[in-house]
Amino acid sequence: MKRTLAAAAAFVAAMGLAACSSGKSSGGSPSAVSTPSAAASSSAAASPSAAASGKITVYAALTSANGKALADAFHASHPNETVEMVTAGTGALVTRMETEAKAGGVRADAILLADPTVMPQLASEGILGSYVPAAASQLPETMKGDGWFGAFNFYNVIIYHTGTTPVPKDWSDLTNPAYKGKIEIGDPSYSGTTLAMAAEVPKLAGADFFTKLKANDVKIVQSTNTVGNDVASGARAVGITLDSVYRPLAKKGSPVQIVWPASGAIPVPAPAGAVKGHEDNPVVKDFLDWLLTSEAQQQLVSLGYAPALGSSNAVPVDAKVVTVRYQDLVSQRSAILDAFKKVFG
Amino acid sequence: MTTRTAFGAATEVAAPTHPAPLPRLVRRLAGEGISWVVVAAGIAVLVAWPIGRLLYEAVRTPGVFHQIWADPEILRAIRGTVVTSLGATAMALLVGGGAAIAFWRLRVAGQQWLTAGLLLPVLVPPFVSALSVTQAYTAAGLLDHLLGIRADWLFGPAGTTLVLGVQQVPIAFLVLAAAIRTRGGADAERAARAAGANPLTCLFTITLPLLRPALLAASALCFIAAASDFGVPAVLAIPARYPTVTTEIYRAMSFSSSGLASPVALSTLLIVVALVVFAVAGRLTNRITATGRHSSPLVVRGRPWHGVVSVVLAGYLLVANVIPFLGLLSVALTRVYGESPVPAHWGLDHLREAVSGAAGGALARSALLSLAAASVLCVAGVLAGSVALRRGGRIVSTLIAIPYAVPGSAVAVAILLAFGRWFYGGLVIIELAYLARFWALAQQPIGAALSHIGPDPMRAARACGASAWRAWWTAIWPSIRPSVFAGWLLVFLTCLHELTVSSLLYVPGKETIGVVVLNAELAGDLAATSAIALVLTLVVLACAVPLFLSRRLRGALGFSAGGMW
Amino acid sequence: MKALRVEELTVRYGTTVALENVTLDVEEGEILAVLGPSGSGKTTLLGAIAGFIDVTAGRIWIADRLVAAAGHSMPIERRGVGVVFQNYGLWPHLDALDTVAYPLRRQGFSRHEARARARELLSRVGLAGLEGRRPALLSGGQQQRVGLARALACKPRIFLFDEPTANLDSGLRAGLQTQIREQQQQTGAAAVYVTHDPLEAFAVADRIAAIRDARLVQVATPREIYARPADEWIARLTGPCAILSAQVIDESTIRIGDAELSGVSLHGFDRDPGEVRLVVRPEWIRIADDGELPLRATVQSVTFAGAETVCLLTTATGPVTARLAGEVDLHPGDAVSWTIVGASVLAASIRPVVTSS
Repeated sequence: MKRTLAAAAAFVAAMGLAACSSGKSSGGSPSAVSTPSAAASSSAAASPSAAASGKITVYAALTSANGKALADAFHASHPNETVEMVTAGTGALVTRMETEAKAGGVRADAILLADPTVMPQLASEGILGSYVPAAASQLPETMKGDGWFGAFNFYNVIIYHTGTTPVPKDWSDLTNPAYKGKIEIGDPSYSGTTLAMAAEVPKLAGADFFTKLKANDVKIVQSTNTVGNDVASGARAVGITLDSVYRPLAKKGSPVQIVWPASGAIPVPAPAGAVKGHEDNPVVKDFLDWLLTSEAQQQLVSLGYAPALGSSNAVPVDAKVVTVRYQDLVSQRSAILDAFKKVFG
Repeated sequence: MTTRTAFGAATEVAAPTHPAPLPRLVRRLAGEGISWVVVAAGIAVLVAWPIGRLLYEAVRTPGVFHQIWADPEILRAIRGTVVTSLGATAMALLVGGGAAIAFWRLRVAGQQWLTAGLLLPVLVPPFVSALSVTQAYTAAGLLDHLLGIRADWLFGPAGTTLVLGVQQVPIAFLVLAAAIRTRGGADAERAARAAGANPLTCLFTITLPLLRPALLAASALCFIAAASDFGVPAVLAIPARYPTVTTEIYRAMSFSSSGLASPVALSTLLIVVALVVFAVAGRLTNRITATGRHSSPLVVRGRPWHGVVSVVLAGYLLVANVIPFLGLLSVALTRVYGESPVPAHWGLDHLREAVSGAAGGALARSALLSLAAASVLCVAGVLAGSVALRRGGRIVSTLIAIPYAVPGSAVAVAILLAFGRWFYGGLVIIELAYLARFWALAQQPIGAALSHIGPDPMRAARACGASAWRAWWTAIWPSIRPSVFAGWLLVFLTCLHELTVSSLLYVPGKETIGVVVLNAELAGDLAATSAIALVLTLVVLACAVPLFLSRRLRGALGFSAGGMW
Repeated sequence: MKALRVEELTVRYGTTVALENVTLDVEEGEILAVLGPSGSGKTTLLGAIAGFIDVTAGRIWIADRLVAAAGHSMPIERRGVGVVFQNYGLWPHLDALDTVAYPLRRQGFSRHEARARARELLSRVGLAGLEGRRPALLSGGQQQRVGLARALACKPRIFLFDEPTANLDSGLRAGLQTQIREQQQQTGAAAVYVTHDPLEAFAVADRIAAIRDARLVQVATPREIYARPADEWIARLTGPCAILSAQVIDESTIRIGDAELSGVSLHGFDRDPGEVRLVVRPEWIRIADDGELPLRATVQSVTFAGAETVCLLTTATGPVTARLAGEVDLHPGDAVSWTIVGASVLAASIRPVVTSS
């Protein structure tokens, strides 16, 4: 009987797998989520490198909606070229690529992440390719690196719940006892964007900035998103987070305001690059090139991000922005975290 | 049980008529061997190969273990995991075990509803549980808006422990209820009372010692499940800078200079913990062998207690389940995140978004995956359950439990490493990960039912002249069918709300519902996250409704894993 | 003072009536066997006395203390009962010594003293040397003797035995019954002994209470209930018998069919002559060669049972079982003659056998 049972098991297993693969084939149809269903023929955009056509996969640390919008915009300007987005957090995407590299090759052709500090590691693991668009030469040195460039920027800024008094103007204001028990910041151990904040703000607001924040009963959460939500809900009055977190909240009408600190916001480039071995794919090149076109930059602004090139109303003209050396940030990571931990334990 | 007596009676009469010629003996041995072979192959493919491949990543990177142990944070993390998991285990035993004992000893009013309520956390992803707790109790939460109550101390070890505890209560309840049902002889207690023990003395000198093996088993399961959970500490422990092993694994994954090696090396900690805990629990459990027969439950006097128990449990359910759910609901319903959750601010926008968009297709895909996983694992669970009953079968249960004892992300990485070359890019690889991760979940109730039945009905049927297959079909299957369905449902529901595995393995156009939830969370849109989580929870609940409606199924789950319904 | 007094006891579970209006007494030192088939309510009666089950109506006194009434229930441990269970009710985690010491500890003896007394009790029931064994390492008979020693250690006002030998091999039963009887006699405490086996009830009991469908139907000494069952149902419950229709002529003469039988010792003949139903036990039948005795029969089967031979006869009035001493040279199909030397008259007023519950 056990034999019959085993046969039954095999049968059920086969059924299960068959069911999965049928799901696979249907899912693989051209109407997949991230691909535009309507061929945008009104391609008045700059005609791209001649005859390139095909489909690439981009691992993007964007929300699925933003990923789709970006892919659609690219397809609209390059009708024969299609981008499929795999969207997840930077950490998940890096883990995924590292795993894929050991299991038959990385499935992505290009990447668009949210944390520049992972790029040297991806390069050393042979995952990051070397292609950088020509337009990247316009970027400041600190906003690009070997094999990557900032496609758009995040800024570490201050946000506060509408109605909070006094309104903070600069980083150092956060040490004001008026905010005791009301401040929330991200944890630099989980992301490079917050790592930049942890490294740079003490340079602007004094080496004892975090010691004073601790005395102010600051709350440290894992993600800058949480900071945004907690300030929006009023759970905390003031927070340090990213401008990209602030904008969607403000757009939906949440009671939250942004402050561009007087001494300077901390910029973090969103690194884009090609995956090693895929640099020569013309669609990859087209996509990366396209990211720095004014069309793409405007698209990114409309999605709530600050552009890497060109001006927009995303960042006030009078906002001061400091310069962050990302190569140093990576090499000094453990020192920065240790200093942070020394204060907060 | 009627089959048992029917076939039992037939044994003596028909036994001599059953010839055992050599070929049949040989065939029978081969037949017995087949299930071993299938289970061994399943373990090799779904457990040994992926987990081994995973461990190889850590082993081949020199110095990674050393590097981990040199990090002072890791000791804090281990302490954090041990403290919160022990606390959660204690709480689960207190609430779940206490309820199981109370339901057995007392006629508790509304027992069925209370049972259903205690089991609810099984249906909700831990991440969602933790999220809803913050939305209900912490600053700017529901109670803050309504009553000005804010329990911000929930961020930290206390809150992590409590929510992990709430999550483990169903396990403790089910395991202890099953034990009480199978071995808690009511006569043993009656004897103690007749011997002069008052109810309290009886509880401590007789009842609890009798339940010791079950308490150990429940503790082991609760501890492992709590230790491998990431969703709860992610929401509640990280903000308090209170590290656990799983948050360290997450940290290493998000920001590691050694690639996969450090998260994998950290995951080995959990594997070792699981192996040790199972080994110790198994050893201690074996020491007292069950001699218990079924006996009708003793309903003991102490009427004042009946009401007290009902009220205490109802209060617990209100605090642990109902108010957090209302917190989630309030965030999902409030149109603009951050506004106070008063009716004027309510709207269905988020819920509408949640059910439109990618969620529909994702739900269908998740349902398909869950359906397949539940069906395959029921067969695998029956096979593993019968193999585990035999000599040396304990190792089978332990091995199957490993993928359940590590965080889902570690399983996803292991499966990707092991099978990515061949199966990547479709739902197959997610399915493989589900099969590996939730095998233990199916095996547990089915194995319990099989061990409960014992070998006699099968022998009796064979003695009556039934072929092996027919004997199984007529004598075993009818008795375990409810438990198999219970296992099926357990796997199906768990797969349906699974978050981490699929988010690491999906490819474009093949999102699962878990991916959609995590994507909403990635976007930082708590209202959308809450809305999707709410929809997901309601869908899972709807799927679980047959359980609560069908007396037979209640009995099934009760019989297999519980015993109280 | 009565050791036990049960008055108009009724126990209901929802709409199911488990016991209906049961009244009985047990004297000091007496063993009352409660005899009935499974489901009759006998274990419910025991449970109500012990305190395992709440009573719906009626009252129970143990040694003149009211222990149970509707809405009142004295805690089990204060009732002064010693219970021996069908499934032994032993504790898998305690060895024999600690099991027997358990009630002594509850009585306030020091651990040392309790163990010393427990040791003595164990040797009294013949378990010296097995003190360190847990239940799993004891045979069924040994386990039940541990159960008995434990009940003795309770120093109860009343022992409650719930089919204590039902799980034992027949060889062990008689020995344990004797032991139970002996030990109970030594303590002088009363006992209620639940069983479904009439022979066991006869062996241990001073009186037997027969219970059917939740009602008490007869309470009598073993001899009386055997010789003068109150109705056909009790007659069959208490042993094999034939039920025959007959005419009673006078206190020692009856007529069956055309044949008149004299010299019959009639139990329960207190009424006018007329049509009656008789209970005839197998040993009240005499058999001889055809024509020698008034009645005729054909032998249907002959079963050798050691000291006696059981003979099933086909007669004009129905099947009759006869029990004959020694070995008999009879074969199926033989024509024989027979007569009755004793019979019990069933009262005409006895209810029909089937009663609703």
